[in-house]
Amino acid sequence: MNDIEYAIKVRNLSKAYVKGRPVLDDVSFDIPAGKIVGLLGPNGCGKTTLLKILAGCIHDYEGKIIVGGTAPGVVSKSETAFLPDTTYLSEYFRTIDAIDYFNDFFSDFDKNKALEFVKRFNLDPKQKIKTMSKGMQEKVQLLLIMSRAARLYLLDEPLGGVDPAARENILNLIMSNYAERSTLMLSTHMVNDLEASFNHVLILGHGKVLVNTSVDNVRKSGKSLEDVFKEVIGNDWEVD
Amino acid sequence: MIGKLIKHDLKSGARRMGNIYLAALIASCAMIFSAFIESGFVRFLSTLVVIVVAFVAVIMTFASVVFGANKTLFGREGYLTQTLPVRTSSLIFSKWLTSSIWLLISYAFVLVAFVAIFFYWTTENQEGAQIYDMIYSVAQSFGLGAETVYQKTLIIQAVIGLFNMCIFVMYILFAITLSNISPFHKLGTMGIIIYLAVVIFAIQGISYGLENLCDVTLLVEQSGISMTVSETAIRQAEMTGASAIGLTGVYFKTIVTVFLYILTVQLCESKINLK
Repeated sequence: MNDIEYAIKVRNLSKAYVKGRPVLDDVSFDIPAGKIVGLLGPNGCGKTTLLKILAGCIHDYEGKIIVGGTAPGVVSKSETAFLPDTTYLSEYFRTIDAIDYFNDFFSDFDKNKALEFVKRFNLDPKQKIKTMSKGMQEKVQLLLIMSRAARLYLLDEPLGGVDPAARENILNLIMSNYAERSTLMLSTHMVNDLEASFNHVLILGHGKVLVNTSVDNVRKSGKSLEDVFKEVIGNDWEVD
Repeated sequence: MIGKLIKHDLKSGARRMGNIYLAALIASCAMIFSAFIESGFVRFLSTLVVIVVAFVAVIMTFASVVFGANKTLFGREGYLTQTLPVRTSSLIFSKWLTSSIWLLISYAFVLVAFVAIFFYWTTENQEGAQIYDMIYSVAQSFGLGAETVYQKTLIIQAVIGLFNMCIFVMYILFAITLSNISPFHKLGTMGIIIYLAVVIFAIQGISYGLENLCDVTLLVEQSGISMTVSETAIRQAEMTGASAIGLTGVYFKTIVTVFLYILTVQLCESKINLK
């Protein structure tokens, strides 16, 4: 199997923000293309760091990363849609400015689809980001990402700040709008809510990959994803 | 892509600084209209407002350039900027160019405001012409000869001034980048000012030393412009009313700026961790 059949190949990846305390410690794994991957693990296990490295936001790491056949760079960024767990749009942007911005830079961006989302979310295209609630800002960011036909989607806690009523809608939006045959990696703590959506799971803990397998394999063992999660994470799960 | 980056960086600057330049425009219009009101107090007040707005525009533009670049490259907005499918060298070049343009606009506004104020207060009694003559006389006493030499020197100095401003923007971008990488990030935002000061002092110091070693000089004479490194030639030319402009520092700073650009790109590509 060559690099391109894998969405992500990671070899001996290590990253430490403080010397001697690695967040990711000599991690190696492959993610096959076309999967919906649940990235799970307790707080501080390196989920966000991993997603940032894959997206090209962190450069200071050791090891080798291949995203869609190339190292993180111009090509991988053109094929990767990254949703960080923070508001990243300029406060001076209006929704329509953000849409135009994405339309200018990403050839896979569908402006009409984005405008449809704006209507569906009852957003005012001329409202400035800084006057929006956190929930509205998250919706704008999500619609921008999901209006792309990317080969790889990296979503960091997209359901983290969302109330339970809106959670299902957002989850449906993600699952029904990501481009076909592309790979979707989604970090979350909501193992139960999302178990049915994943077909692959990557569990991180103590700086290592604890589980990297298909959800079918998990089910074959007669366990639920949550059982496996609790089993491998142990006491960290309770702290979480 | 570089064109799109420049377009969006200019737009972003306009959004941040639009209000101050709108205030500047209103103040300038108020000054023009106050010329029709025969009240010394109104004239004084409108002039004062233009002066204050001009200085505020320069300070705000500088702050906006520094903090805007920091925010869009390495702050939260970096998650958008750094995930665009563009080369890091293009990102930095766009920031450098657009920041230089905004600083130039602010300085140009101050210049235009002061020239306008000068004419505003002197057109009625020919004081303008008298002041010009006075400045010219002072310049002559400092060794400047013919009016053409004076004008050419002013133009060359203006070009060097603009050039220095663009160089200064590169120093800012380098200082910002340095303040965002380990272990230099420990000083936080204050680090930007400290690193900028260190870079300026270091480069000015080396530049001064190089000028003493080999002073490449541009001689502006009535007959034309020439370049020399001979001190004798410079002294002789100055005795005939030529003006001498040192270029060693300009050459050195150009090389340093290119080096800092490459270093900034390298640091961004290998050391940056978005928080």
